[in-house]
Amino acid sequence: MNGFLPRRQVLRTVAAVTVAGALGLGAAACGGGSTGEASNELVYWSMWKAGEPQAKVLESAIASFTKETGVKVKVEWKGRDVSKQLAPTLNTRNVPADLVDSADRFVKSTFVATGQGLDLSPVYDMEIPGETGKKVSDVIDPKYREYATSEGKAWLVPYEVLAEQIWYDGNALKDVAAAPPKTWDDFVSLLDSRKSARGDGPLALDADIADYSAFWTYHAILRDLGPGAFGAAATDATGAKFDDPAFVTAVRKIEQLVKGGYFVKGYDGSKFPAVQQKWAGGGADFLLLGTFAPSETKPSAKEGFAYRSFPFPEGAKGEQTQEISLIGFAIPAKARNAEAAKRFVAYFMNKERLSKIASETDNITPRADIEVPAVLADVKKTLDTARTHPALDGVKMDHTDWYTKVFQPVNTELITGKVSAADFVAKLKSTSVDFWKLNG
Amino acid sequence: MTATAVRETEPAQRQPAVPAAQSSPLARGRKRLFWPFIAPALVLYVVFYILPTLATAWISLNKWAGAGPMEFAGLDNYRRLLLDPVFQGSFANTLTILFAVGGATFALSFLLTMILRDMAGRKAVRAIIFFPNIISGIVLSILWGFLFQAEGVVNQALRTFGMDNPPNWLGTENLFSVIMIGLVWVQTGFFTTILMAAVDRIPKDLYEVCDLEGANAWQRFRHVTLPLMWDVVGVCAVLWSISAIKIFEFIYAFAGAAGQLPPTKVWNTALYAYAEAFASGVPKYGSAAATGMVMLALVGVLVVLLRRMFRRDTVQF
Repeated sequence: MNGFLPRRQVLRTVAAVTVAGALGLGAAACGGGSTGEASNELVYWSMWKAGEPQAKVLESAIASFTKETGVKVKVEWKGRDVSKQLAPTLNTRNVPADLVDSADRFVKSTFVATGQGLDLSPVYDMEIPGETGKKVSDVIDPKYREYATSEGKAWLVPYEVLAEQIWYDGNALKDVAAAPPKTWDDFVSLLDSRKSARGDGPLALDADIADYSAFWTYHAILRDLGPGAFGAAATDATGAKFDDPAFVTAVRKIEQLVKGGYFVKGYDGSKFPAVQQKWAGGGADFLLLGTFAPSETKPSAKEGFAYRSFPFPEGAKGEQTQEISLIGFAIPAKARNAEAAKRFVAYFMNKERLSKIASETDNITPRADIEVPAVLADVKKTLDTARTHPALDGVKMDHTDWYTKVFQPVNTELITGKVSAADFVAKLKSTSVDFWKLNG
Repeated sequence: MTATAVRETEPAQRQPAVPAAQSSPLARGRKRLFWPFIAPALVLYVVFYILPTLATAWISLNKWAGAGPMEFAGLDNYRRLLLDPVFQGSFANTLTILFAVGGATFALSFLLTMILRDMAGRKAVRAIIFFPNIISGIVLSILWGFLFQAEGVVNQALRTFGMDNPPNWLGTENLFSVIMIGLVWVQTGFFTTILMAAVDRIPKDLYEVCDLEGANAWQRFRHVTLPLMWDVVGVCAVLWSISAIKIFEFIYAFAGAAGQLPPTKVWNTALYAYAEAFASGVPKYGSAAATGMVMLALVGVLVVLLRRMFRRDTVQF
């Protein structure tokens, strides 16, 4: 007896352990099928990190929801990559979240394009707890519902509205506050006076953030050609839409800003958020950014800084429009506790609860009857009067690949003065045609 | 008849050898222990490496958004990679990092090794140059970004020395070069440390002989140091090749910000794969997996070539 097991027995043991392990893993991966019954718990994956103002507002709503309904909410503060983390699980029988919140473009690409999102139309028909006789659809501005609906299916219930405007210090620029520029010419003459006053470009831009550079170009295009024009050109496989003389005329406005030295020194060689902080400290006058600008720059703002804003000036189209994007709730199609998730969404839409998104996080909500924070009053004025359309003309949301691989590289060259407007359009057209040949 | 006789006698001659081996208790014990020792590692390796690799290979042949149905696409993902100018640029950047950053890192590591060999306080210096390795790449790359931005420390220092218009380090024209300098800086300490350990093994009397023979520094390096550390250099080359192809966080954190990707001009294949899976709107897992397979093939080819290149009889000393 040498103490060793017979070889065959050893092999059998190893095989048995392997198979058991594999079965165990498989069972873990496939386990926990949907019950489909009304449940008293739900798992919520959020785009916020614990401690962020929005997380605090949601946390307090979750606490009262559990108290009032008995439904336990297991919340996980996943951060901005929540959709990326959830996506690989959507194909399985074990989708780990019943409720998600995220920016519109992530929800659309993760849920809508893959058919893995629940149609939220029934949520819009639900009565809001605490507001007798009022349904979700009664309080959410219809334009936001329409924005978040594709092929008759609602894919998002928004609780926060973001909009891009040109920000400035109302205390330092009282003349601008009294009469903000409406047309492009007004804007350029304002820039001229500010440039000579400060001896440097008055426009702040962190050009290392490709979106921020893109904001300038696509706004100019949409103001001249109208909402939808940028998106139509992006998806034109022939590239013919880039040949429209109005297109290059619009881009020349950006060329004018670059060549005229209207952007503050160092805008093309800084690390975000250096330039926007410089702006908040008084180192520049104007910043084209979303409604998150005040909360992001407040810590570096100089004393007495009064956040004011005006929309991107009108162009040849002669119409003032406003770009928006949404943050809201979505529910995976295979969520095990979808009913509980819907109840929470309707619950959160209650005026008292949702108003904390405005009062405690300095954001605009999709409810017209909730007062906006003072720093966003100018944005609200525009939202109430102007036609709204998706930020970046929906291109980043619907054609991200084109936007990243074709538009961004050429646009960075334009914004940093490496190419002229005419070269920009020619290059955009040729790379776009090549892109659609390969990906069309 | 003769042939038959031979056939009959051959097994008879070999037979005793087999039972002899089997009869050894040690050999039998070893054989029995073989699987129990190998199996746990093998199972883990198969489950966590081989199967995922096979799954990736399969996904690379499909069009798949990560959720929803998978659509078989054959080699279409690979065809699109070959034709995509952004992938071509990313692949070229990967090779540039591999050879240019690798070349500079090794040249600097050799130089430092030679300088530090006889230097007083070499241990302290070695710890200092190894320092970038113990800090997260993300932290380093963010710091690197703030050093080189328009009003960063580097430009302020240059202005102090009278350069009125310092280079626009983070401009698109210089960004990749700055990334490469950063990578050399991060990697040099690691390889210097390994090479120095190899140099420390070399007997001092060989250098004394060099001194007696009147050899200069280059001759000492060429005829003593390099041959005696050749096997370690080979291992370092393999380590560098594998890590160079996988470099991701330094570029991502240094050139990207606010959750956005760096400009496509500085992407390498790892960033390309990430962008295809997570930043192209509807995820393109097929394309990302195909990029992963290309990277795996590149690593495989390089490792085989390097092993051949560095194959020499080990010098005993």
